[in-house]
Amino acid sequence: MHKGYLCLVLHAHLPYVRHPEEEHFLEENWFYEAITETYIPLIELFDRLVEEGVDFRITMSLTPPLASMMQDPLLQERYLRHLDKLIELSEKELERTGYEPHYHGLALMYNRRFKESKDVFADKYKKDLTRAFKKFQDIGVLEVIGSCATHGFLPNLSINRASVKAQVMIGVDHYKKVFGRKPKGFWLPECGYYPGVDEVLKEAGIRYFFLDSHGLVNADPRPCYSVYAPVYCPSGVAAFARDWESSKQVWSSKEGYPGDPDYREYYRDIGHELEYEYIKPYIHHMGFRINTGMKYWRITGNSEYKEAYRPDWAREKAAIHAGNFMFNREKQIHHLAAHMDRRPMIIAPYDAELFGHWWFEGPMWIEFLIRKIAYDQNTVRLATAAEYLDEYPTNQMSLPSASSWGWKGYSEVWLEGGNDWIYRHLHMAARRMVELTEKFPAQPKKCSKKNVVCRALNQAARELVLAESSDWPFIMKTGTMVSYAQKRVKVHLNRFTRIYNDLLNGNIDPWWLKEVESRDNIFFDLDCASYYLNKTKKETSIKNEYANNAR
Amino acid sequence: MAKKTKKPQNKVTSSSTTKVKENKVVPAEPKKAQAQPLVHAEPQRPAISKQPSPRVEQPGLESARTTKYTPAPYHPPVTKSHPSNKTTFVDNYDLPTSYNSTYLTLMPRDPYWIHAYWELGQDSIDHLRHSLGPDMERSTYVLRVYDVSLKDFNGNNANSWFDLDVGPHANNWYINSWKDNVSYCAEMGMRAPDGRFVAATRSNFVNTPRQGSSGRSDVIWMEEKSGKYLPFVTAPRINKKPTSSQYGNYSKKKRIYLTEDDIRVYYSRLFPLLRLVIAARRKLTHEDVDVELLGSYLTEGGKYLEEYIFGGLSRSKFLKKIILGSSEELVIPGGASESLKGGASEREEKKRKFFFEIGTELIVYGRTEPDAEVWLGDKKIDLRPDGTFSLRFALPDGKIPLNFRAIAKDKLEKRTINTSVERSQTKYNTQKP
Repeated sequence: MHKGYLCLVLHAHLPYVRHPEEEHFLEENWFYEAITETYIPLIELFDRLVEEGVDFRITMSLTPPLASMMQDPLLQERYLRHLDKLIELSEKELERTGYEPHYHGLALMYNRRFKESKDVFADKYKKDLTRAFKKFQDIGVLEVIGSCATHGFLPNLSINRASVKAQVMIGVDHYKKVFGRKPKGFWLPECGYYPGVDEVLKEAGIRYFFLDSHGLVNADPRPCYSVYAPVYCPSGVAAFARDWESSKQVWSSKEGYPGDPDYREYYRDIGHELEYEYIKPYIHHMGFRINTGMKYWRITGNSEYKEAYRPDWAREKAAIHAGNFMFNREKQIHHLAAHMDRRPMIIAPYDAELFGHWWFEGPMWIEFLIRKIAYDQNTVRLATAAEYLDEYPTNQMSLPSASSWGWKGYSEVWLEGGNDWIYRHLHMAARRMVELTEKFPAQPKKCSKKNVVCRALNQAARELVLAESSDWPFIMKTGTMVSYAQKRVKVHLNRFTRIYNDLLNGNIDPWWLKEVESRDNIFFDLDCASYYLNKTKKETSIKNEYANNAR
Repeated sequence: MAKKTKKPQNKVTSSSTTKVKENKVVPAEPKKAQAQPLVHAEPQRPAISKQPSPRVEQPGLESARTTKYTPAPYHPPVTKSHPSNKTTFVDNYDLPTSYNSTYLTLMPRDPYWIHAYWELGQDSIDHLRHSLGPDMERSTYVLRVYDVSLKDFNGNNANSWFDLDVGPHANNWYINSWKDNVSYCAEMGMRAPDGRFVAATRSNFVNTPRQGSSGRSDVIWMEEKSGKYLPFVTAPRINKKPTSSQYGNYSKKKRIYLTEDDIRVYYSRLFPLLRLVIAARRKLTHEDVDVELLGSYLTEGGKYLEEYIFGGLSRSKFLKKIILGSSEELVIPGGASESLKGGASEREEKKRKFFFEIGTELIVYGRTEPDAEVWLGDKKIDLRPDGTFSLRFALPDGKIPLNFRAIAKDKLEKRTINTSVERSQTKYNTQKP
């Protein structure tokens, strides 16, 4: 008889990066690399487990920008082109490493992986990976939860409730289009919670969301089960919180698994290592070196000296680490169960891109963990948050504390000297967006593609949500690719402001609007402006009209 | 003339801060509080490097997450237009340095820091000049920060406030506060040499998060039944000892279901800004009614709590509003005139500075032989050299038993004196003219 639950949550997200105006665009590689290294390996392992009938439950978020990119024909074609190049490179590498047995085996491994990726991507799922996740959700092993429209960090947008509402509602409606049902749970970007955001989730029909540990530990009143059972916010939406101990084992720089010397080294890539003329066709088309994804070395130790990667050693380590993780969860649950009148639930959320992209052996570790939990013990069972709420519909009521899972636990990552300048513009644009829907109240509701005002309104809303993405301030803070993040914020806000001015002046340039629509085509099938309509105001104005007519 | 026209691009905030009230010292601003230049020069593309990207020392949360955005050289801005484009498409220009409007916005950063950004439009500058007259030139730009926790702020009734001299060129500031879980509001304006403060604009209200866990351990349950959420508490057991599982097993206890009103009252105590809403709503409704419903059930120690309940509203809407502590929409134009104070049984009259409060203390004194022992219950009381002693107690409402015992040095004689002191329920009344 199991004594408690483990809820593995993988948060998959990338910002919307799609540049049709350029043939090759460097930042699109974020998406291509994540597909090859994270999303496809996850899909492959889920497929294997389902085929073998292993019982498991995983919770995953697939944010709207990521799902949109997965469904975008241009990016699908470009990914195939990218993958073909990789296959070509790996074939060349087979030849080049013919007399280097350590590296030849690795070249074979990559060659096989890339070819498998192509099978999975192009043949099995017809270039649209959301189909795979939908399939696993329909089978019942995966629960995909919703998330914000563009990963807006809600505490910093909360000054304008319409912004928060639009982020949540667009996210939910987009989810319905992709997965064919309503989301049960919701991933607050960066676990950014503030009291009141749960009310917006409630309106959107969400049943639960996730918090960082201190958001629940510091809840008022103090939760009696700490982070090992959910609480209901006063709105009735359940809040589950991250277990710090299990997070640390995977994330931590000192105790975390991914730093093991036998694991693959992330920073040594043949794109940077091999002779320039040889590697030139496979790096950036303008000639500067970038990662290719083929990495032949293991972490080895804390110095520049690296030895060749040994897949069999790494696999062994992944199995050991999975066993260690499970053992610790068993002990934890034994301990907790003795102090609780219900089964404890351990919430272990991670960025999905950690597994595979950063920690190459991560997907392997997940697979070992799932198999071990299914066959090697009886204490822990994998479960989703929704299943927990079905088993325990009665929970304590409490108001969580504002928090995030970012560095220091609050808003500082997204609000500091390097990025605070964006907020006056974002907030101003949000106010103006509401102003636009008030000035053109009839348009957003009955939108037709032919109505240029309506198109402009929707495009203004798209530009606003794209500018609100938390990725931009995050990148500005961490210091890599800063200029790209700055450019994106500026470009979207400038496009927004131009539409705003054009609408007020009654002077929209249709060519320009069409071009902007084709570039920033996220949510092209949603009437984005309608989410900024103040419904209550609308209702009262209708009432007043009605009263006037009656008179 | 200190006419303020256009703000310079590279703004430097003054590091001098002053404090005018309540002897509270305002901390120096951190370096990063410096205003961010609004113009960002286009960075240079780095030279092509054969070296791999800089090594991040240890894999950790942030470094792992950063690799999502693979470090790579800067990609130059778009110069080549797509063949289908008829004209070059450039919109990567700088954002406006001014919106020519007046606003002041607060954003909580963490339990102890708030970020403020603002702009004063020409209208506001003119307003300040008109109000200050000739003093304008000698006045300083000031950000006045009010602690409005549990207040219905009307401009004059903050718990405390302090000024930050921000100078004419800053347009944002990081404000350090000493307390967590506090509600703040701020005003941007100018302070004349005689101390007169003229505000140009008032900010939104924000609430800083709590640092550390709550002292409240009440357990209210909520049960989900086919989409409805039913909150309840369990009746305390009168003659039984609490079970080992302190909270658990609600299933066998008597349930007392709570209404939305009860929850509303309860949560109005938890979240400082909620007071604001309560007070605003109060104006719209009938006389307040004392409600004892929750107090007797919710606190385990049986501590008496008193709260006020306000009906006559759309309940679901009210509940939604009430939780929205940090939303701008809670700004109440002009401020309401009434408010409530938390805690046990006290009521405050707003707006006027008049106040009235009493406290009670109890002093017990006695004497015996200097070498004897005196005990109060199980506590030994120290005697002065002459054998006298005195004890001082706070005296809240309630009954305090005083059972003294004196034992002679030779242990042969023992005397006891038992008495008790009671303070009966104190009533607070305010008579309105």
